[in-house]
Amino acid sequence: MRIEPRQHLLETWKATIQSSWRDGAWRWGGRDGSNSISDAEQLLCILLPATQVGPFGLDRPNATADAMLEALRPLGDEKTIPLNLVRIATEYFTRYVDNDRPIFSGGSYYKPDDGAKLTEVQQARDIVDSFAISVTLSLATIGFVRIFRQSVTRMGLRRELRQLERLASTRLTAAMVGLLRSFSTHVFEADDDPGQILLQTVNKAGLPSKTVVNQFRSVLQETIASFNEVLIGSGQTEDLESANALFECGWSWGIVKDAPAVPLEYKSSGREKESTAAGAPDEPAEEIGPQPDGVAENKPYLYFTVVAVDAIEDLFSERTRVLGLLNEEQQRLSRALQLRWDLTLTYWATVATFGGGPVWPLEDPPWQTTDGLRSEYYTLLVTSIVVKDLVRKRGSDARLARIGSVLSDLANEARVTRKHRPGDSGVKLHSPGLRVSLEGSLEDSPDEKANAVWFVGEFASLLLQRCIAIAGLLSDVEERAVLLRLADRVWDHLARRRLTETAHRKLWDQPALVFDDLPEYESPSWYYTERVVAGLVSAANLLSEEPLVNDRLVVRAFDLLYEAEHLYDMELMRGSADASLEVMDVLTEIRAKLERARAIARTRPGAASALVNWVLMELDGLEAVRHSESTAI
Amino acid sequence: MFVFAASDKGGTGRSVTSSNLLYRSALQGNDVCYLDFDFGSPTAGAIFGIERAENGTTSGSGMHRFLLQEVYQPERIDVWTATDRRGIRDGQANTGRLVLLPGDVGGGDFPDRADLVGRCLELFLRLNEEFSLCMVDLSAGRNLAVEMVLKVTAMPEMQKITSRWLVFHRWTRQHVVAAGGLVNGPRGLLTIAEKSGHDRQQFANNLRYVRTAVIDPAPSTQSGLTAKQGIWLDECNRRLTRLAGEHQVGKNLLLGSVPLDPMLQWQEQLITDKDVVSGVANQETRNAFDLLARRLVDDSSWETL
Repeated sequence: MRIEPRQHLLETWKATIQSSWRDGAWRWGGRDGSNSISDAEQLLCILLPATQVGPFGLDRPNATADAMLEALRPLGDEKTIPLNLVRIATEYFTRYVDNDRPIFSGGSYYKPDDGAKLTEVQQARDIVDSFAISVTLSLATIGFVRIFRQSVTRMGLRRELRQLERLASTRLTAAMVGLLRSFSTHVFEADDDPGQILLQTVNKAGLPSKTVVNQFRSVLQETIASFNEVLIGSGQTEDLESANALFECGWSWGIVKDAPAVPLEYKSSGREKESTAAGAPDEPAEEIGPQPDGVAENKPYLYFTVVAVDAIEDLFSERTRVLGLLNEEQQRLSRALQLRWDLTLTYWATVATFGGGPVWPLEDPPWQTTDGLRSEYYTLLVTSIVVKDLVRKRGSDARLARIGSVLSDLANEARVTRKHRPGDSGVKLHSPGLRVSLEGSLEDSPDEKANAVWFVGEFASLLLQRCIAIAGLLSDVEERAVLLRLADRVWDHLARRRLTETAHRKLWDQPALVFDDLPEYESPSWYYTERVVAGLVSAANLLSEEPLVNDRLVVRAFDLLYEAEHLYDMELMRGSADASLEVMDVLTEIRAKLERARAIARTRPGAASALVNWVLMELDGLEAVRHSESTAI
Repeated sequence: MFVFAASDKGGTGRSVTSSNLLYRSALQGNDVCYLDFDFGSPTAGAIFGIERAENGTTSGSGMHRFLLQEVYQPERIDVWTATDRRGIRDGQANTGRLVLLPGDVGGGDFPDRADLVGRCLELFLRLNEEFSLCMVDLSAGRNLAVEMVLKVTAMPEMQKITSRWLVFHRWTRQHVVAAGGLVNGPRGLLTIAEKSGHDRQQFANNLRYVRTAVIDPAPSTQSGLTAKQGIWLDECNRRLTRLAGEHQVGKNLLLGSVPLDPMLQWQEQLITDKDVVSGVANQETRNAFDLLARRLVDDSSWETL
C-alpha cells in the first residue's frame, strides 16, 4: 500500500484545524453551508481518527503522541485539545436541538429541483443522512468523554463532560428512533413495473418468470419470515404472504409517511443514575421530544440504505461493546435496528448475486433500480452492501475477488483509474454526482412546486473505502495485492482532488483539478472530506495488522533454516569459537539471527529468509577460507 | 512562593536542576533564595561554584545548626558575588537577588523534635517577605525534613503563601515507578501531607514532576545514535509514557523535561549563557531550565483537568 494513512490523516487534521479554527473559535460550515450533517462531518474529521485509530487518541492526555499534538497545535496542548473538542462537540449538540427535540434536518444540503426554491419546512425535514452521521458522531463523542473523564478531577469540567455525554446520548436515542421510522419495505407483485424490472435484473439465466419468482421467494424464505418480527417503527408489512409478492427493503430518505411513533420504554438505569438522580424516577431519562410525522416515500433508496447500514454497524462494533456505550433503551433499539440491518444485507446480497449462473446480476452493470433508473453509482452502492454481507459471513476469497473486479470496473467506468474524454458520462458521477429525487418532499411545498433533490458525489471516496474493506478480508496474498493496488490508484485520484487555496489547502473536494470543464470551489466539502478520512481510517487499521503470510514462503524459510542451523552446529563442533574473539562475535551474532529467524518464520517468512540468507553467507565465508588455495600447507 | 524539590532516588539531578532553575529565575529578575535542606550531603555550594561552602558551610551557621537552634541567624551567601565562577559573576545586570542558605558540613539527619517546626516556620515567614521564590532542596526519599516542611506548610500562618512541589525523576522505568511511589504510595507525600493537615486534592494540584537527563528520541536531536538505537529509544519512550500514565506520573502532571547534557554529566554546575555560546553546553538544556523557571510561576501551567 502506498497510501501512508498516518501521514495523510495528520495532514488532514492540520488542514481541518487551519480551515475551521480561527481566533480561538470553531467555524461551522463549508461549501454547502452549515447544517446538522455538514457540521457533524466537520467534527468527525477530527474525532474519527481520534477515536478509531489507536495512535491518534486524544482522550488520554498522558499518552497523547507528540505528532498528534503537533498537528493540532492551534487547539492547545494535550490538556486543552480534548477540552476544546469537548466544547466544540457540546456546541454541535446544543445547536441542533429545538425545544428538547434533537433535529436532523438536511438544511442547505437539500437542493431544489430545476431552480425552484425550497420552503423552510422542506429544508427542516429530518433526513436519514443526518440520523446516520449522528449515530456515528454520538458514539464517538460518548466514547471519547468516557475515557477522557478518567483524567479529569475538576468538578466544573466533570460537569461539562456529563452534560456533553447526556446531550450525545439523547441525540443517539433520537437518531436510532429516526432510523427505525425511516426503514422501508416495498412490496410489489411480479407483474407490476418494479416487479418486472427486478425479475429482469436477477434473471441472468433466462428462466421463465414464474420459476424465478419461486426461486426468489424460496432463497429469501427466512428473510420473508423474519419480517414478522418487524414490530416497531416503519417497514411493517403483512403483504409478503402472497405467492406472487416480491419486495425490496432498506432505508427511505427520511421518516416514512405514516410511520408510527416508536414508544420509548426507557426508565433510568445504572449508567444515567448519577445524572438523573434529581429527576422523578418514573420519567424517561432522555427526552427526545415529539416524534414528527414523515412524508418520505415508502421505498428503499440505495444511497440512504448504504448510509444507514454503515452507521448501524457502529452500534454493534467492538468499541461500542467494550466501552458499553449504549444504555438499556438504546440496546433495545439497537437490537431492533440490527434485525433490519440483517434483513437488508441478506436481501441485497441475495439479489446482487442471484442465481447459480456464471454472471451475477451485480456483474452486469449498470445496476437498475426498481423505478427504472440505471447508474454505475447504483452498482457501487449495491456492491457496498454486498461487501458488508461478506464481512458478516466471512465470505470466500473467490467471492471477494469477484466483487473486487466489479470495483475495478467501476473505477474505470467512473474515470478514476482511466483518463476521461470530453463529455464523458463517467465524470458526471463525481460532479454534480448522482441526483436522487426525494419523493414525498413535494408535500411540504405550496402548490407542489419544488421537489427536493439530493446530490451524491462521494463516488471515489466510497470506492476507496470498499477497496480497503475487501482487501482486509482477503486472505489470498495475490488477490489482496490486486485490491491494494486498486486502492492506491483510487487514492492517487483522491489526492489530486484536494483544494489548493491556502485557507483550505489539503481538504476536499476540487474535482476540476482532475476533470475538465467543471466549476471550481473555494470552500471545502466536509461531506467529502469526512468520507476520505473514513477511508484513511480503515487503511490505518488494516496496517495495524500483521501482513498476510504466503505458505510457500514459510516452507522455504524453514528449509533454509534447517541448512543454516546445521552448518552453524558444524562450525561450533569444530571449535571455531576458540579461534579468536572476533570469530566468537560473528558466531554470537549468527546465533541471535537464527533464533530470531526461527521465531518469526511462520509470521514473517520473508524476513526470516533474509536473515537466514545472511547467516548462510557468513558461514560460507568462514568455510570458504578453509578451502582456499592459499590455505593449503 | 515556596517550592519544594523532592525525589525518591539520589542522582536524579534534583539539586542541579533546581539550582539552574533558580538561577534562570534570578536572571529573569526575581528575588530568589535557595535553602539547602539536603542535610546528609549539602552540595548546593558546589553547584553554585562557591568553594568555601562546597559541601556545606564551615562557618557553623548553616541550615542544620540553625534549625537545631544552635545559632540565631543562618548564614546567607550572595551567589552573584561569592561564586568563584567568573561566568556567573560577570556582567549580570537587571537580575534579581540570588541567595544561598547553605547546609552545614557533616550535618546529618535531625532528631524528631517538635520545636524544629516552629523554628522552620519562623524562617519561612521571614524569607517569604524578602523573596518572591524560595526553593527548598530536600534530600532524596521520605525523611524527617520532608515531614517537617509538610507540617510547616500546613500551619495556618502558611495558608496564604503558595507552596508548590516538584518531584524530580529520571526518565527510566525504575525512576518513574519510584517517583509515582514517592507521591502516591502508601507512605507517600500525599498521605503524609493529608496527615499533616493538608487537603489531599489541593496538595496534589500543587505538585508536578520534572523529568531529568531525558534523551529526546526525535530524530533531529538523536545525532550520533544508530538507527537501531533510535528505534529502541523510541519504543522505550512509548512504553515509558504508558507506564508513567499508569503510575500517575504522566504528561498532564509534567512541568517540564530537561534533556541529557554532557556538561552536567561530568560536573554538576550552573549552565550560563556563556557556556551555551561557547558551545560546551547545549542550548536546549539552557532553554529547558528557562522554561521551567517561567512555568514554575505561571499559573496556567498549574491548571489541572
